[in-house]
This record gives sequence, structure tokens and C-alpha cells, in this order.
Amino acid sequence: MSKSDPTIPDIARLRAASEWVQRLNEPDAEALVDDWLRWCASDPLNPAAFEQMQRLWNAFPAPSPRALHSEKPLTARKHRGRLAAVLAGVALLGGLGGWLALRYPQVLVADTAIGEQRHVALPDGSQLDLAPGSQVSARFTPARREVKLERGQAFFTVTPHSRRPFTVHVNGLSVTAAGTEFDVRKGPGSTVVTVSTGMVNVTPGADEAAGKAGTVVENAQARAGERLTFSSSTHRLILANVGPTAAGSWRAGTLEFMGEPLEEVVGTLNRYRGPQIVVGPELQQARFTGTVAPAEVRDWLAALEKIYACKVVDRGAAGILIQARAYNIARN
Amino acid sequence: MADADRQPAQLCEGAAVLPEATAAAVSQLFRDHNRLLVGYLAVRLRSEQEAKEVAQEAYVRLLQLKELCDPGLLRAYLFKTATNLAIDRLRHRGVRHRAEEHRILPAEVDTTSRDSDDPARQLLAREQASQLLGYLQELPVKCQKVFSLHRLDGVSQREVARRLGCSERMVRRYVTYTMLYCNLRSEGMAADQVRRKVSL
Repeated sequence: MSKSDPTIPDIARLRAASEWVQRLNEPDAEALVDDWLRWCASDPLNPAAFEQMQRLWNAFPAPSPRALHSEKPLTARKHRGRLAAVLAGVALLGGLGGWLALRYPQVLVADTAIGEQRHVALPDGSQLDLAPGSQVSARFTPARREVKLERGQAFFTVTPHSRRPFTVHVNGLSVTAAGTEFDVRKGPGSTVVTVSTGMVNVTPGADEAAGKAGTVVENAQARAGERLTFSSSTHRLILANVGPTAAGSWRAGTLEFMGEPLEEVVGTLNRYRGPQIVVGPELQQARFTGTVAPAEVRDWLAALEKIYACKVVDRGAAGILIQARAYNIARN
Repeated sequence: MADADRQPAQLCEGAAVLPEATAAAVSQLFRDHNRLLVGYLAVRLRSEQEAKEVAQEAYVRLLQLKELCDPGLLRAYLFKTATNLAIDRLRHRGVRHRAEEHRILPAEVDTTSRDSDDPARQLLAREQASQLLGYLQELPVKCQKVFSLHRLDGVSQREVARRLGCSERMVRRYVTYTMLYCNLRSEGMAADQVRRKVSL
């Protein structure tokens, strides 16, 4: 089979091979063996195609403990009470915003402690949900609405204003939205923008960090259900489909990750709970897909040991270390 | 597979004490079907190494048959025996063992050592797994959901169909498309090219 350019029959063969892999994986596969052998014998290229698909099938990570991938989160913590808590200063300015905005730019700061989650109403009618361990500052003028995500994560629900753009500055990027719901997360190694409804434009920011860091990125757009990830090391933006419900799903108390580096997963978890988790350098880029309830982090760590070749070392108040297992010592 | 033609040692040893005809029939069966039997078992066991071990065990069982039966029946018996051995193995596989599972064998495998012992291979397997998960992310969300539930969580296709409210046929189609897509991507084809070439 040509590796560079598979023909239409090649693709049809791989398709058939893939279906056989799936069928032979079912409990009643034994009854299918004769049919399958006949298919294998019908073309000398079929067995190789089957093996190729079987290897691909096996190359995906092994099924993980149910907790990590279950449809339903382990626990759905209720944050309603906390969400209702409104930052007093912001609420006050929000009420006066109508006329204050004419003369003075309003600078508002809101932050949350580890594990704290907060709902903030902005003076223009937009709202934001601030994740634990996060901080935003907002500056509103008659011409612009600008928010800076200093750290952590926030979900924005933006009120449309045709001539007053809403921009979130984060890590040298500017995320501009109109009539949009989207989430922005500033992690240890990357910045992630996930759109729930509408669309956002991401451009190299006017943020002061932009010039210094030399963040050269192309402009990009993300629509509902899409996610843009900006990697601080490669300075590139990567677009992925994540579905319209992914953005802001953390507000219900459960964290969802889709193929994200362990470093980012842990960075997020650390905003939720006390003793910090540290990931060894060799595992930082290992990808994780699944759901984590911060309250059940111990279960997650235990499961992690089964998925990756890693060991979780609890150092009490000094934190928890996830490190690669040492094979040469552990063997025999 | 480089060692697909190499016969298991037991087969040769056993041949001396068995009726010539049975040994010859099993040898023929081995030549004709070993590669496929290993492929079949690898799908169920998720490991080629174990698939080879189980296949070998199945041949040995076959050689212990008192009577020679029709070649077609013998083949059926071989696959049935192998299936049962695989089921036993899956049942006995402990949690600890499952952790060592994400590995893929290169084309040539030294049958004397277990691939799970080799850290370099394990690293390769983990890198490949993470690359595949990256390709998975490029797919439509429905594909990702179906494939994650079925392959990564081990939920049956029927149950996936029920949970996501679609037909089993569609579940199979999503899984097939995902496999094709990831296969072509891992062969170096660009995402948009794969999308042009392969449709759901």
C-alpha cells in the first residue's frame, strides 16, 4: 500500500478492515471467523490491511478506569450559592456605570481564592464567571470594553454592542468578541480559548507582554464548539473541535479535558485545592482526556497511575508529585 | 510479521508422538492461518505478544486431539480454542497488568522477551497513543464522543448508540471513519487532504 497516496480501493480496503476489527472485538466474534477468513482470502492485500487497522486499534491507550471517562461526572458539586455572590464593588459601579462611563474609565478588579468560584456582573451588562484562583481586571471606556485575564480562567457572557468591542487580553493575545459566550484559560504552558456560542477573533495582543515575549501569531477565529490553543513554547495557535458544551463546563464543578497536556490539567486542578500537584518534566506533555472532579482528586491520581507509567508521591503539605516510574529499578 | 512463518517449538516436538496425519494437518493449519489467528487474537487481547502466546497454546491443544477431524472442523476448533484461551486470559488479567497495556509492537518482535518490559517501547507506545489522541481531536465532536466511549472507555457499540441516541450502524460508521482518519494522519497525510479523500 502506498503510504503517501492511498487509492480509492486502498481506502475501501482499510474501511472494510476497520469494520472487521470492530466486529471481531465483539463478544460473539467467534461466529464471524469463517466470514472474516473468507474476506482475508479474497484478496492478498486484505490481511495486511487488517493487521494495519488492528495495530492502530491497539495503539490507542488502554481503556481507563470508568471514573476518568464516564459520561457523568463523579460528583456534580453545586456552586449556585457561590455563583450568586456578586463582587460588591463591581455591582455598585455597575449601577452607576451609565453615567460614570462618560467621564472616567472604570477599572475593576475581581479575584478568587483557591477553590473559590464567583459570578461577576460587568457594567455594560456582560457577565463573567471567575474560576478558582483567578484574577481579572476590567477597563471600560465609551469606545471599548477591555478585560485582562491576569491568571486562571473565566467564562464570559458578552452583551452585544456594535460599536464598543469587547476584548479579553491574555498572555499576549487579544480575544475579541461580540454577542458571544466563551471561556479563556491561562495555563502554565498554554492559553486556551473555547467558544460556546457566536464567534471570537484572536489576534496578537496589544498587551504589554506581546512585545517582550515576541509572540508572533497569525490571526485566528473560533466558532461555537471550537477551541483555540496557543502554546507558549511553539507560539502557534491550534484549532480543535470540542463541542458547544465544553466551554465553561467547569462552572458546574467538574473539569473536562480533551487531549490536553498533563501540565495544563494539573495547573487547572491546582487552582481548586490545597496541596499543589507537581508533574515531573517527562510527563508534562502526556495527553489526558477525561473528567476530573476536584473534590475527588485522590481517585483521579490513583487512576492516573494506571493509565500512565507514573507514580504519585504524596508529600503531605509540600504537595503531591506525579513522576515517571523508574523502569530499570522497578523491573524484576 | 517476521516470525509468522516460524513454527512454535512445541509443534515440532509433539509431531513425533502424534499420528502423522494429525501433525501434518495442524502444520498445514498453522501455515495457512497463523498470521490471521494472531491478528484475530490481537484484536481481542489488545496485545500482539499475548496473541502469539495464545495462538501457540491453541496449536498445542490441537495436537492433543485423539482423533483427526476434517480440516474445516479443525480450523473451527482452532479458533474456538484460541477464543476461549483469550477469554480466560482477559479474565485473569489484573489491574496492574492492564496498566502496561498501551503498547504497540513494531513489525519484528523477539518472542523471547515481553515487549512490556522495554521502557523504550513503552515510551514509543505512549507517544504514539498521545499522537493518536491528538488526531482524534481534529475530528467532529460526535466522532470523538463515539470513539472515546467505545474504544477508550470500552463501552459496547450498542450501549454507545443507546447513550448518544443514534443507531448502531452510525456508531460503527463513526468508529470506522475515526480509524481511517487516524490511520491516514499517522501516515503523514495533512488533515484537509484526509478530509477530502475520506468521507464519513
